[in-house]
Amino acid sequence: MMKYPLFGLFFSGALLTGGIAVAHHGWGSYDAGRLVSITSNIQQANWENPHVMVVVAHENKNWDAVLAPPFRMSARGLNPDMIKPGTSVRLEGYPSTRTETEIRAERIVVGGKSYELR
Amino acid sequence: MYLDLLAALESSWLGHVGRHSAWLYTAANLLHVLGAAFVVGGIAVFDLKVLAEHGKHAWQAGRYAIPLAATGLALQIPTGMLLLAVEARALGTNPAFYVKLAFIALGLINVALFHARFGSALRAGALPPEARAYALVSLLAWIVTLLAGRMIAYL
Repeated sequence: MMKYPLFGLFFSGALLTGGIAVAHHGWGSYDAGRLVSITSNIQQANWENPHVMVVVAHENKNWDAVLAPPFRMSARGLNPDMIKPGTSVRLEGYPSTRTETEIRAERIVVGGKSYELR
Repeated sequence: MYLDLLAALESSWLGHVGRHSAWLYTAANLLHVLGAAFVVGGIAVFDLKVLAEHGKHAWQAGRYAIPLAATGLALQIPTGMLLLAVEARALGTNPAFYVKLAFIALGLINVALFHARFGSALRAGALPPEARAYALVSLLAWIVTLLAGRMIAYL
């Protein structure tokens, strides 16, 4: 390694940053070990970047559900009209470990059809 | 003051357009990755040339690598502003974003000092050995900037 000091520099850099890469297991903090299923009418919908959000009722509380980015929603065949307030949907997702009434939705069932969001 | 600035950016026309245009936001995301590759790639090639040959012939790499990095920076500023404006209050107070800003500042100060001190020596093909310290700081600053930027999504 002494013969190749630049290689040594980058190799140690790679070892150092490898630690950061390990922490790279998904955005935000959601408990992927616990799948929550919510069937509700949509109370409110925000078709916005970076992620579409809807508010749904679950166990007498309003829950925020984080869906996919608008671009992906469209690519998977969803559009804003399909999740208008009042529409009945089923959401499956992982609960936030930070906010008690928030899930990151893995899929949405609307109009009898299931759409994968990840 | 800083928080007011973030709130103003978020409620600005830019923030509104960024939140509501799927295409623009996606394009900004793609170009921000491309710009990062240009900045870090261009700078790394130049810094390695400065480190590897004690500054001799650094301009041979620099005349291609520096414009590439500058092009990258020109992509990063507008795309970064748009990506930030979409959720400025949340992103602007993310710990990884503070780290990113600090290392951008370090990188910019470093490059300004380098060119002020060694600009003419560089073009004359005679960089002194002490220029290597700047190359090391530069490598560190821009690599940490890139990593901190990517970490924003996970904190």
